[in-house]
Amino acid sequence: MSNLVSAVKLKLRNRMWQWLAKRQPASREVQLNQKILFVFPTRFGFSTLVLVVLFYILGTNYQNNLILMLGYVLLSLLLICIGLSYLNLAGLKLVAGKEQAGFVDESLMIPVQIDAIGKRFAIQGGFVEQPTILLTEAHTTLSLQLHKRGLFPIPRIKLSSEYPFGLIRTWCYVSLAQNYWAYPAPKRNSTNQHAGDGDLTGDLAWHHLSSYLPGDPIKNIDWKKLARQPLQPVVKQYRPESYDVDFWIELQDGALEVELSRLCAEVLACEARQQNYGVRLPNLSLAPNHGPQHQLKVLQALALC
Amino acid sequence: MLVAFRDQRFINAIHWRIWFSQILLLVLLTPAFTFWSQAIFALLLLAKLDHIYFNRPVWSLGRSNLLAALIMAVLLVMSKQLGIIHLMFHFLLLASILRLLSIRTEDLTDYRQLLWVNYFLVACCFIVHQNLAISLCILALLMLQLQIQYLIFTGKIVPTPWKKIMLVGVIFFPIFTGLFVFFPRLPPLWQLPGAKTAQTGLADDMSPGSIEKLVTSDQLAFRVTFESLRPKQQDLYWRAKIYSNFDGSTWRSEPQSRSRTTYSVKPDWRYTVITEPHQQRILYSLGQPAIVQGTVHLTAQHLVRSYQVVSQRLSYSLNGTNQPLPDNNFNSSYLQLPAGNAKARELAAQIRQLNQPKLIVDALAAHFRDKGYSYTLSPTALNGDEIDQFLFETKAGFCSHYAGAAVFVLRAAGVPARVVGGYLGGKWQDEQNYLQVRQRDAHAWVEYFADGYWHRFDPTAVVAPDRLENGLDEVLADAELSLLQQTWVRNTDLAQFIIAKLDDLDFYWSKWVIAFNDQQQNSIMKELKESWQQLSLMKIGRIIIVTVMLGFGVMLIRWWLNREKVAEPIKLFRRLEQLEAKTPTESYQGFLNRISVLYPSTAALCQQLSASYADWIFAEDQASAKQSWRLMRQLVTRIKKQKLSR
Repeated sequence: MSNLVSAVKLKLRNRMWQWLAKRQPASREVQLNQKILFVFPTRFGFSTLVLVVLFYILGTNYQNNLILMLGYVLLSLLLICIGLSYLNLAGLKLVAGKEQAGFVDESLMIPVQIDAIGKRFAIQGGFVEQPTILLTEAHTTLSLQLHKRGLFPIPRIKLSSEYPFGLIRTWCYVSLAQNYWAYPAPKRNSTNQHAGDGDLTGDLAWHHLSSYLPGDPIKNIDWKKLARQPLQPVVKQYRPESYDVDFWIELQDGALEVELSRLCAEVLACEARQQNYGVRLPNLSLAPNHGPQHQLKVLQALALC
Repeated sequence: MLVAFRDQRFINAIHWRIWFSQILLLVLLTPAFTFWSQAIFALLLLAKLDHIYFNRPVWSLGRSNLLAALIMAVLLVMSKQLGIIHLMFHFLLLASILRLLSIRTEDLTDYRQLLWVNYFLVACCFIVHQNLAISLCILALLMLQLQIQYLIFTGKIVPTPWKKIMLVGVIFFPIFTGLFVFFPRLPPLWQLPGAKTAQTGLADDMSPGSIEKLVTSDQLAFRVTFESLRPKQQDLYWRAKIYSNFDGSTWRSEPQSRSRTTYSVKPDWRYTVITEPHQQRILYSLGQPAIVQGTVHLTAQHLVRSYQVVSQRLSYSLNGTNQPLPDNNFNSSYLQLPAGNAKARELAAQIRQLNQPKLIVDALAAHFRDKGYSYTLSPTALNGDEIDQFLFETKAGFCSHYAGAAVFVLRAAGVPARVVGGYLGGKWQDEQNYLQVRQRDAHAWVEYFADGYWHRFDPTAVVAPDRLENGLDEVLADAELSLLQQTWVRNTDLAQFIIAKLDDLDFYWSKWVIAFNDQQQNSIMKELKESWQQLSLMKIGRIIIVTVMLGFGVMLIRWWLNREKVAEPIKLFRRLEQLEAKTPTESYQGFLNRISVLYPSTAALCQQLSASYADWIFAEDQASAKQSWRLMRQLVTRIKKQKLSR
């Protein structure tokens, strides 16, 4: 029985999303108007309506006009709140921001711009089925929990407000044309570690100079340069020779998702030590390189694999 | 959904307001509380100070539930004394106060429940109070409640948005008034239990002295407006109770039964009475009444009665006539007399010879007039054969003495008679618009039966004719009057004037708001309907024109208020900017330079304008202002020409 109910609910919900998709397709800018705003009494609104009915019965039985008046005050308030509640959201403009990227299992903060929110009160916002926050400023970020890798459009944003008396709720589901990347969660496979990783005791080769920071070993200071520029000490940086070798990131046997997680972790590790790395995937291979641009390309390739 | 509710200062601000509104409720509901219950509630309110003043954590739910159970048990024990309605008030206020004592701030549910109960309590205040002054206090309380609700759902302390409230008010009042005036009104659906409060006003039995006690009170009894001609002052005998059973010292009121026969009444008067609550069923009427409107009924003795105990202001309309009262089911109980009072019986035997009731009454009146009787508030106490003592020894008394003695003698003389209790006269207020009757106007007189009708006879009027015309103040000796005025409210002339004006306001409040009923509603509907039918095309046209003009006026005012307040120099360059765009970073002089390059023929003009503009702005030379405007006009026309020729 409960299965049936939940099935019906799910179906209705899907129908609603389809209907919404037709009514408000995603766009870069959305201004809230009567076409996309919903207005309905809250539970408190309904209980106030019950109160009005009680006042009517009480006032009628006691033939007491003042109690009737009190009932009418609340009823008028309820009616006016429909307009006031609508006006609190109407006219707000949501503007899509830049593409964001994050890793699966983490929450991604997605910036959203809401124009003209300064004079509005008590607006709650958040992605559908995600926690909501109180919106007060034009530039705000909404959090989104990532579950699946890939490139997705951001879910609909739900804005709602019970201002001013909590009797009527106005809300909307806004779809913004903005995408986000979900990269595989970086996870190391403990048995299958990269050989040279974390091991700085092997053959070290001079790599580059960098300015001295407290904590750098004194023996690494470039003494000749220090003689010339005594106020700007410079240290020689060494790193394992193996880091200068191009590293190929490849899929191995194993579950695809687990493998992708491992590759992702290796990409991050290589990038951290500025080692050139290339990727070989079933549908794509990228030549060894490093740097943010390259990393982005590789991670996106992993996300879409 | 919850609003972020973390800020302790905000929470405190809300709690102070709720706390204050609960104090107001406790004070306003005083008539429904006993001393002890009010003390308990006051203590609970004091306990809240611990949280909001000293910032201690609120009580646990268990603690407040335990207290609730305890106090409810005590209240239930007291329930007989309180009555069901007042018990309900207690429970509601208890729920409200304990909820605040253990309120949880992480969720708004508690606040919603609290607000709901508090609105109900505000309605309860209106069951207890209806006069204007306290109604205004309750209205203020309602405003406070609304502010609390607004703040809770706005989630932060915001300054009261007066401008917005005004705008909302413009929409609110038509809706509210429309609902109040036009929403259908029903008769009471079922009987609600009344509140248990001590009765006031005329008592159920009358003994010599009981009315004197009433007369010491300056309290309002009821108020009347006449829709017809006003009756003469000597006809303002407001009948309320009939006392017919005499045991030698006390007259007992007769139980009233609903009238079975309907009498046709020639309406001499048409009037509306608004009574103050007195916790009895008695109501007031003149002569023979017929009901026009109101939840009231007539009794066989032509008295008006309420279906319920009058525990709040009640309004009803009557037709009335001054004719003697017909009685179809007369019985001989109106001749009943206890033994004793031999002298009075002797007097009765003498006047009995006259044989006709009218003549007998006249003879009795003559006896009172001629045998040295006087009217006093402080008669000598009587015992034993009280009627005899009064008639032949003290010969001084109040209306109850005279009425009682007269009925005794009349009955002894074979004329059926009864004492009528009620009020005499009243004071015309607000340029005689309405009549105000106070407890001090209480009076007792006599009705005797002859030829199938009850006739009025007021022995007091024979002894003190001024009482009729001018009220009590004129009749009593100065010493007695000053004694009375000690208990009446004594005031300076100015204070009396202000009190009278406030009284008038309170009366119109009662008349138009509290006593507004389905009948008035229907008459308003009817008038509207008629005026709608009378609407001709001309009138509609006129209304449209007026509306359009009003709208235009409003737009004009709005434009005037919102018009751009721009500095003169900026205006100067407007026309030019329409022809050639100026970049925001450019200075006006730079702009002119660029123009002179674009249109070489205007170079000289541009230079002149630049210089003149500089004089105007930097030397504040008003002459060069005019010069600048002149040069600008030339420049603009020349550029336009060039643009055209290109």
